[in-house]
Amino acid sequence: MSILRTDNLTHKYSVGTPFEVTALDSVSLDIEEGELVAVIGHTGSGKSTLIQHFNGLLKPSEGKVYVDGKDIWESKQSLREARFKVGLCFQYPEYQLFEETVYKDIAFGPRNMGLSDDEIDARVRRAAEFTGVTDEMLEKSPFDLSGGEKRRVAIAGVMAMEPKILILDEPTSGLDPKGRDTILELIRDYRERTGSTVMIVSHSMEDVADIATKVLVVNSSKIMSYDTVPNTYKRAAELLEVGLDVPSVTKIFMELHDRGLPVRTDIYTVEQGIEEINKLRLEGVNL
Amino acid sequence: MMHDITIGQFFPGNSIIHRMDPRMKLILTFIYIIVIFVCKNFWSLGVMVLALIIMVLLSKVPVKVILKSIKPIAIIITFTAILNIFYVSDGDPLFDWRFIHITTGGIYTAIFMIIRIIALVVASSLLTYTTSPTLITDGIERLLSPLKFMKNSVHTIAMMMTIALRFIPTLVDEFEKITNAQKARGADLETGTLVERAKALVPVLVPLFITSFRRAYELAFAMECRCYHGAEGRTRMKIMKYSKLDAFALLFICVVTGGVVALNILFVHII
Amino acid sequence: MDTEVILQFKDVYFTYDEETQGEEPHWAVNGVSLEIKKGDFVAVLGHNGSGKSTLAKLSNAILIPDKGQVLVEGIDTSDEERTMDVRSHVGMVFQNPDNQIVATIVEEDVAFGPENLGIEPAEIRRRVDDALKAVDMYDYRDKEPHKLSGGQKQRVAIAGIIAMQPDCIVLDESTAMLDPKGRREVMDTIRRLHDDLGMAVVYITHYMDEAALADRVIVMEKGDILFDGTPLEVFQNVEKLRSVGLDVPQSTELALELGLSDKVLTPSECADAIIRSFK
Repeated sequence: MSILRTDNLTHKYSVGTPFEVTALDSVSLDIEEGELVAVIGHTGSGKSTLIQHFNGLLKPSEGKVYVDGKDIWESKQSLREARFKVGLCFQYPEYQLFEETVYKDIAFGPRNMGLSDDEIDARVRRAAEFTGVTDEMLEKSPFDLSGGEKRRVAIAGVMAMEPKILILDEPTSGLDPKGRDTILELIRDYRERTGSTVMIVSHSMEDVADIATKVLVVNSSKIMSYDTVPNTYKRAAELLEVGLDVPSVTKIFMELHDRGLPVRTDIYTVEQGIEEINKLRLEGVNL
Repeated sequence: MMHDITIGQFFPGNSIIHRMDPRMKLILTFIYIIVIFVCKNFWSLGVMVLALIIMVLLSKVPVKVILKSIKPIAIIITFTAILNIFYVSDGDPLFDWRFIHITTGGIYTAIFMIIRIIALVVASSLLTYTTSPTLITDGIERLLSPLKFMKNSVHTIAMMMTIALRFIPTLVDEFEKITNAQKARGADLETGTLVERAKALVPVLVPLFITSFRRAYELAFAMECRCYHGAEGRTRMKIMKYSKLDAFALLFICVVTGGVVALNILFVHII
Repeated sequence: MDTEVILQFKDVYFTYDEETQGEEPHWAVNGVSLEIKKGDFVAVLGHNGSGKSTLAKLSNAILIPDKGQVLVEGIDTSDEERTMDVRSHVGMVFQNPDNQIVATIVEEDVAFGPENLGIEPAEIRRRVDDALKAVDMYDYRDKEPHKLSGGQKQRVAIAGIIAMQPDCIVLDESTAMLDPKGRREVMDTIRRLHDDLGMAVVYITHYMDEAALADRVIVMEKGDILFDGTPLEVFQNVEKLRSVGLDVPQSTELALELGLSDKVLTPSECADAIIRSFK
């Protein structure tokens, strides 16, 4: 079932001035419920503008956005619903923490939704569990936590709203490999346990390649492709051409293919690479 | 999307006004503002306006841009005009109805005041249009540097102004980002009473302050790493040198001032 | 002392703990000795909290060791009289490009360091122009910094350091906040500064592919040096690196897993090794 749909969505900044730019140009997109979508595109491609349309932070210059089949700009009520159905977690979310305790900060979203105290408490605890925020941490000031902990608290604050679609903008930026793995792990876990739709905006394809089910490539204000991960990497050459990075493993297999080795080119993890080469070895391929 | 913010209202260019020494521009603007208050009649004010028009034309800043600087003070202008029209009772009566007495004197004074305020604003805008904020702060620092006893505090204030100017766009950008992030968590910043709205800003302002402190802390480190240690032994890349142009500008303003004084004496009180 | 040595750590200890009441403090840097020589390109790897940033701050007298000595061109960093000398020899670029640019015009920011050193105006002008050309930002000299991209801002910050003509430049996770394009710009700039100007570079990062470009890799763990060697030598230790929260480049990992060569760092080297194995 389609959970999120855009219909000829166009967005222009600074309309009517000499600085007018079209950040999104007639984008039509349909995202199925339960997918884990990796959104890639370089800075200025329009991907940030796109995700801000999904919960109505920006108003389309033209076109429509439907969440759960409903036009979000239909009424004030539908816009408010969209804000809660689509949870948006921005880049460096730890910089938006403000409450005295971690508990209160995570409760900020649910409280804005007008839920009962019991429901808020239940949601805060569920979100804390998903993100590995301990009971002890809940009582601390968010400013006494380490960088990685703050990041998890901030993500918990969005998860606690229990949105149908969770969108995270660069959730791993600035983290070391271990911190990055922790965050990606918890996102994967969250999706598996709640069945929600998740979108991750990322520059680093190596990070999202293993956990995504679909890849949405945004380039020059348009959707360049929206497909499964292997199908996307079959087009690695095109991605490289528009200045996007592909995993090193994909680059290796592209080169092997070009140099005459009969390998698949939709490889994007080291494990797949080992498997593919071992298969060739078993087949006794020789150059 | 705040990348198109311009700090202050600097209008880059290479006109002779742009090329003048910022110190001289500061001095001349200062003199101009004083002289405009010395003007006692339309003749002397006319000289000042003429001088201003010449300078605006020389600066090559489009008149449209200049006029934009008057817009924010429209209320003050209207208010002053109304005040003068109703309270000045010299001259012939023009309109008399109950407590409202309008006289020719009132109208003249109102017009005189309006021209005076506009000239004042345009003159100071011309300074900011043709001089980058850094040059203005630098200019102030150097003008005041002969005051040895306050050399350090002048430098500190100038440095603070530069840093403030540098960080305004960054903070505006940051404000927008945090606002969006809290809106995404359902914060309602647009409806409610004034008090409610002020309260709703807390989730935006707290993070903004905290980031600003962090920025200040990191910037202090970075400045120390670049050997910053106050004004002591510090040189500047851009040397400020008075040129013939500046001498000519000074001469020009002296002539104008002389004219204003003469006209003040010649036409006493012909407002 | 060897004149070629720019930066020398002699059994350095540092702690952020203030009062320890007789207990052994938590050492953020725990007995580190190392030398950086003229023309070195060293990457320092480690997860957050491994002590790598503390190491950076010790190198130019922002922090002073609790035990041991840090020498910059033979000057002890604990000598307060000579702090400015130390900092003019070892320049530092930080993580957040926004928080290290002081002036409202690019070229004025680059001039900030030399101005603090009290250099003659004409000489500053020359240095600023050279520095901006070296980082390929000369065309942006009269722009306002906030209108630049992250990678461009970081290159301005680098120009601000090289205008002080240090012998060594320390980059403390200077690419962590940049997008891939910005990272590439900064990496290329650093590589060029090293190759063309012979500047010693200490490059602190947790991106393995960036560390692979260095001549020497130091891995920090718990305030101590875990590995110190060429990228090829260090990346052999896949399991050990993983256990301290680090990665190895995918190319190296694939080649090692396939039992191929141990001399692989880049994708094309890996492809070469695989092709050879099928001949």
